Amino acid sequence: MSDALLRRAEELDGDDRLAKIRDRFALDTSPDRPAGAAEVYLDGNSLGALPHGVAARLQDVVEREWGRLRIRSWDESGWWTAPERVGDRIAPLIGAAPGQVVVGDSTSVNVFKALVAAVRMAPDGRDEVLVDAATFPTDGYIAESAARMTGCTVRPVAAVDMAAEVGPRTAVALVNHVDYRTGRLHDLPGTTAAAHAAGALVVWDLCHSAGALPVRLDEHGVDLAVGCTYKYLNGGPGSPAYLYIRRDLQPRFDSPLPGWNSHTDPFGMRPHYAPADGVLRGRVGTPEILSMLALDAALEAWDGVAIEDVRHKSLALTDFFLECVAELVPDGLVESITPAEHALRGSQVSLRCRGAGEVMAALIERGVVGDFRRPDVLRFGFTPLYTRYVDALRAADTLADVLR
Amino acid sequence: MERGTSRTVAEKLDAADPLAGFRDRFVITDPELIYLDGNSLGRLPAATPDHLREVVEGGWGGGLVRSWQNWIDWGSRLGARLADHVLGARAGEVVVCDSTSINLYKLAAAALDAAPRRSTVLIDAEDFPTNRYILQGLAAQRGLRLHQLTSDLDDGLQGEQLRSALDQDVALVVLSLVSYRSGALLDMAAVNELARAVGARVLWDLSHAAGAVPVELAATGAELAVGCTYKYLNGGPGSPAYLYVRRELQAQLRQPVWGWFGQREQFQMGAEYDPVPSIERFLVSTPPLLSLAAIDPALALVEEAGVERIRAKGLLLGRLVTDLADDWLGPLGFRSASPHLPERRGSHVSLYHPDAWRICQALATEAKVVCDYRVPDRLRIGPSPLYTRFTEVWDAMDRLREVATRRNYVSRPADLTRVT
Ligand SMILES: Cc1ncc(COP(=O)(O)O)c(C=O)c1O
Ligand SMILES: Cc1ncc(COP(=O)(O)O)c(C=O)c1O
Repeated sequence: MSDALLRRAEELDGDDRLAKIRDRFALDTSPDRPAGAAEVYLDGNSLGALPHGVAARLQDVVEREWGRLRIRSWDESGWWTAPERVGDRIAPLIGAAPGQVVVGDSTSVNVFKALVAAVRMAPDGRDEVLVDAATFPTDGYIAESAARMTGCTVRPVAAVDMAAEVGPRTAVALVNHVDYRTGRLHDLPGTTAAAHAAGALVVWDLCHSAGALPVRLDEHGVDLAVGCTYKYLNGGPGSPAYLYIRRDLQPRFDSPLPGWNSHTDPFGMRPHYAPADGVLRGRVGTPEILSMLALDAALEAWDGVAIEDVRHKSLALTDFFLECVAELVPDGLVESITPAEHALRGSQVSLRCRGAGEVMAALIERGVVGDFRRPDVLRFGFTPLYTRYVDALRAADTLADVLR
Repeated sequence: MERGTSRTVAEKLDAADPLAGFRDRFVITDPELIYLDGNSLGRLPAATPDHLREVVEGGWGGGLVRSWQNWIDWGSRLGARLADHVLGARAGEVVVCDSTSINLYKLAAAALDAAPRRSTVLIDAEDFPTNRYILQGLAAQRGLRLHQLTSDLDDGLQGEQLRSALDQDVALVVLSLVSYRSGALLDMAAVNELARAVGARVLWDLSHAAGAVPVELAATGAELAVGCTYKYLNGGPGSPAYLYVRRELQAQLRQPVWGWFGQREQFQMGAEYDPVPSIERFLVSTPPLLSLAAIDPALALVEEAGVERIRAKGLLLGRLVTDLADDWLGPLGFRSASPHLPERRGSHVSLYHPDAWRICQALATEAKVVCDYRVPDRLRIGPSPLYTRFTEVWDAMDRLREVATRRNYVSRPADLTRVT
């Protein structure tokens, strides 16, 4: 490892305004690793690390709220309203004013709700759903099923061409804000504006952007958005997803899943479905309380953190990692498929490399955890709340070792 | 069972109760408080907090993303245990995922897709609302006729009603095996047979049955079922639901929410949706793992006790409720709002009273008896057999009698709270 790079890394860590936030996470706790050899975890874009407060909060939810208060907790512990409350806690991270985000169910299920509702809201006669051609697969499958259900056809279009391709037949476009494989950041303001100009709606999948960079949903007039909470938001394995419904669209949001939790009078057991006002029309059945309140506790890690600082550090970390890779890894062994330009980069670096599957296994063996995406991509996620510059250096250095 | 209203009857039943020991396997923090609402949210099993702590601290905190190697099939593994011990289903017919509402939607839509030439859906107008709303949505979207049978509020749907509504145009019948309000228990085998005779499919909601009464999905020829795990199965608030699809039917059905967890070679990230042939084709997405994990220790208790023994005790508990209600409560304005025969009920009993809501509130705050209220005027008493003593039921009924006699409840607000 080069001394100069190590000094740089230490300097950058010393100047890092977010450095202290790492203490909010249960990292470096593995008993079978000697101190100082803590793992470098660069897979927080798949499953975020565990924030310290979560275990205690979950224990309280389980032992006191469930164990002692039992059924009373639906009211007294605020379980019933948790989907909206936790939604409002996520809202500032994605540039949404209160009352437009609801939490519950998975990302896939929320993509389904959003797409079907979008087609139902689109002007008459539109029969096409555009889907980001490189989309994460579940979004693509869901788009197919939503289209089939609403009598539309799906047309895959590269995310970068989406703005040019939305047309008079387009009901809705489904776009990933950041591509899960390449880490490319797509143009949310431009694509949204183009869709609106063509009379179409847009659904943004924020899985790989929320918590990694500013997402200005309200400012850019985004219609609908969904995202998962177990990546950069650190909500825990399979923590429930969120759905954003822009306020003025809420009265027209017609869910394909009209469960009783979205009813205006859920306990009235009324004969007919009458959706509630507001974003809670995005709800379906009884919320998964333990997972949802673990997420609620995890979001405390964001207290006092400015998303602009996160973005600044994310770019600096990924820049530094790319620099270390360029310096340490022999030429020609890896190729970055993540855009170098800041405006086009999310918070991960994807490197193509031969035998990527085995390379990643060897990295993990040596305490550098990223992930492998077929056929040949090494994915390194940089989560600014707890990733250090020395981690970026160690990852690059270990990669160089493995490849040599 | 000895008929009588003396507390000794209950004491004798407790002394002879083979499941008595299970009470200690749950967290009971206030022995004075009598909890008769396990049909809404089951009590916390004593083993659950440690299990969750291990999943959070060891699995998530320690193992991080690698733990998915272990977690990825928990929904299937829990499904297999439910199939074997609770639902009378065969291996590979049950999986745990999503909410009951979502599973109902998935299976109903799949069944309707498979019967394109039929245009009627039969439901019970008195069924739990989420089932009706979901089916209303599906029927409206597909231009189907939703035929809502008005079952008897107290006695449930009668076979004759169903028989006369079934014809060759019926694609799907959606029914709760045990009614959420009256507790009326339907005859699964008979209903399946009636539907089969006209080529209709039945989708069962087992929410109030599973873990309380023996369910024989395979033996009765049931084809589709869903249900929740937070009632008699004690999985915790909003724990994920299960779904059942008869093995022979699986490959023919396609659920409408095409998510990557149903995909062959999920991590190949293939562009075309191509679902696996097995029960996992009805999965959609990443499960809420902490909520899912809590089902494991809870289900272990039901497995150990055995549904047959749970049912045997549930019948006696129900009898005790109705015997005491008959003897004590009639003059106080109550009447039974459940089928009279214990064999025709699940594990809860409903009582009618014009002031049921205020009585329910008074019972909880003045007498430490928790049961629940259901519109319009029902008090629902659900003694979950795994942790409820006969003497608790006796004491609860005694306190109810007292609250009703004292009539303090009349000074309470009559307005319903948001969550009842
Ligand atoms: C872009 C994107 N969408 C959706 C998902 C996952 O969806 P679900 O949580 O519904 O399984 C992922 C998961 O990695 C993702 O990266
Ligand atoms: C018969 C029945 N079905 C479904 C549900 C609930 O469904 P979900 O968990 O989707 O809210 C209940 C809840 O009480 C129920 O009684």
